[in-house]
Amino acid sequence: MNRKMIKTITLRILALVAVLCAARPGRAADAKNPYPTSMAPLDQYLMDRNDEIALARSAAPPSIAEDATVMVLGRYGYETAVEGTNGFVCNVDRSWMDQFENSPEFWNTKRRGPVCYNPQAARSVLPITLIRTKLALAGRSKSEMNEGLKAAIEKGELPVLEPGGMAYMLSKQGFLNSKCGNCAPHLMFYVPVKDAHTWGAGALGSDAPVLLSPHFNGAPEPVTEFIVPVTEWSDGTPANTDDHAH
Amino acid sequence: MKRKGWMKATFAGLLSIAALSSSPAAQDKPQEPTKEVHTIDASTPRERQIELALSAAPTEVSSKATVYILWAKGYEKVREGTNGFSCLIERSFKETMQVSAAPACFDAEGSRTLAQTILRREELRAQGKSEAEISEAEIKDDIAQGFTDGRFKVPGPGFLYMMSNENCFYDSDAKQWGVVPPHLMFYAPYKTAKDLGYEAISPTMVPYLTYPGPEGLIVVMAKKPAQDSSSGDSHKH
Repeated sequence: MNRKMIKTITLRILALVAVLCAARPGRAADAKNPYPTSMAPLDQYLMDRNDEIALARSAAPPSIAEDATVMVLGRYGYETAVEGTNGFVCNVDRSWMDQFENSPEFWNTKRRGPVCYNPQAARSVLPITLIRTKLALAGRSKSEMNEGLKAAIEKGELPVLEPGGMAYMLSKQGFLNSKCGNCAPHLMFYVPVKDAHTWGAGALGSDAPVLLSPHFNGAPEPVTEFIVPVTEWSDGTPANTDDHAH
Repeated sequence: MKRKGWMKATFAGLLSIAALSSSPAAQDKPQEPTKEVHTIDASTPRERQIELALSAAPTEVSSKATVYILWAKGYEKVREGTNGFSCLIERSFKETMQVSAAPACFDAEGSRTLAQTILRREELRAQGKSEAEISEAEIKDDIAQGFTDGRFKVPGPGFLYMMSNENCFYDSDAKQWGVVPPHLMFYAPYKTAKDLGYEAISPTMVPYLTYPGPEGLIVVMAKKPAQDSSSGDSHKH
């Protein structure tokens, strides 16, 4: 084997390594974004089943969560771990519930968002979570997930939003993002998407009485999510007055 | 977002606080409502009515909303808005006595649905020679019939603002007027306490559910925008 051939093989191996590294799930892009830029190995998003059930239930007051259906993330999507009796459904959101644009933590493996939907939202909002998760676990990229959701919406796979739909996010143990950690306890309400500014809702961090969630809002889900912070966590302890909602 | 100033008690607790916010002396000597301050009718100056109605929502919303005020035949539209919201002062009565004057701004969905029932209520009240001559029971029956015969529509998802500091109600037990703290109301027709995870309506539930039937609403206390000086901060209670 002459020197030229060795050099060629070496370069090809280096190129292959570079390609494999680029394609490796969960690779961090650069120092500006310390989070994975594509889905990390699934195991990093999974939890111990009992821990996930407890975390999901922490989203709402015990009187609600104890009788709620609980869904946990499995290798093929969310699955029912506890069959409830009160129509509520609790689960722990993962990072791919973030908005598609300007979401550096879209693949953050640490993200754990406990949420309990009331019956109306369980029927008409939770399906968004299930579809997004199905796409993520199928190995779709962020942009492919976005396109997949658009297609699902066009096919009418998302139920019509029901009035009275709301969700509790009162867990002290959640991790919603790296800026505010478990953030602040809050309620979420859902209305059909329209020009967000007509509602008078403020951006997160603003002083408006009702806050506009960055999630959904026509990109692509036709749902506007409002956030109304409250003063107590699900365990009844008061929230820190400096906490932020998301 | 700083959360200082957020309500630290439940809806019912805040109502109680509001009802008892007068001086101890005032509590010892229950006062009859002061009409000039608390009640609203067609004789209330136009500009005052507009000011109160607009105080229900953040300026960003109310400045572009349709506005209704009371006049001899019910409500009169005095401004056509551009954002779909409708602002007015909603009144309620216990027998012949006005027991609330609540500035409210409905979103487009509420303007199309629930606000129409409020317009109708005042239309009916105005048909009497005096407000005492048409009973609240008759009005209630008419509204209920309206939902049955299609005159009124059940709202879809949406909400209304009640952010005014001059949302007044009369506490008949304490025999004095109080102020309902700023809040939002999300449309929840035909919802029950169970839909919010409670066995029954409770004064301590958060969020709170009010009005059974097609006019059901989920009540969430909210803070007042710190820099919104246009929203009824000049109340005189």
